[in-house]
Amino acid sequence: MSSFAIIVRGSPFQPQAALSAYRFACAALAEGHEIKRLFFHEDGVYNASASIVPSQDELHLPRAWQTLISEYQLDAVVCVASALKRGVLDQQEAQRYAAGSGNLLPGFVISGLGQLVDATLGADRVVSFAP
Amino acid sequence: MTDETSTFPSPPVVFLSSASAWSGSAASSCLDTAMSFAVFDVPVVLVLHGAGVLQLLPEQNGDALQLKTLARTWGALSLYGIHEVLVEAESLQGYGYAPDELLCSASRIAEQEDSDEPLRLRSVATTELAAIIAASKAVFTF
Repeated sequence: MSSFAIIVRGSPFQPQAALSAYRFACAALAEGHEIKRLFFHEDGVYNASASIVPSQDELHLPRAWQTLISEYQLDAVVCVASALKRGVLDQQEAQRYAAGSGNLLPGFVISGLGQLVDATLGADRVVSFAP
Repeated sequence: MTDETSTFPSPPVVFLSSASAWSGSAASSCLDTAMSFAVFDVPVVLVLHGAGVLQLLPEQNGDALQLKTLARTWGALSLYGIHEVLVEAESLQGYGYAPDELLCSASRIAEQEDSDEPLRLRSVATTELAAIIAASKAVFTF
């Protein structure tokens, strides 16, 4: 069995990147592999937004991630610089920047690129999904 | 075949940058991420290919558009221990540039900042790049 660091750099609306990452994560976990960390970078931070409301006949990818994270107790980190730029904020950051209330889905945490470094060095494999 | 990674104490992390400075945030994000790894003393190989080679064209300035000028970030790489940037030769040829035609704005800035070791550019063939990637810990594409 291997441990993976999975980097998601595409929003839920960009072709394939985020959905492929989600499907890969599901498959890896189903096969008994470990996911050391999910790292949401650049437009990938939109996967952690509670403000996204897809059409009813579309997959709600942020909620799908949230369910997966909860079910497997995954470490899901959202890059702070990418998130702030794109308005994906937890309560603390929202207060710090007087930007209303936070919209980060529960289960995700905001942190820095050091978490990406740590995940890269600590995992057997790094798989990056970019648009 | 030259093993360009042999000088590293551990397998490097390779960053492939294929976006121009003005096509979005990818070029800037690549440099930021590479510097984050370098801060933790992780060996970093930074490679420009495709439109990424256009990042090194001289005299680029985003001030008129109120955009960040990426050359200033390039100038900071040496401070993070990144002293060499690889440029894929085929990409340079594709855009009609010879390696010595590219004035490295970053090097000039680094020199102005009295960096001990200004940034160097090195043109590499795709085959050499493949060997570097094969020996790497991870590859990030931007």
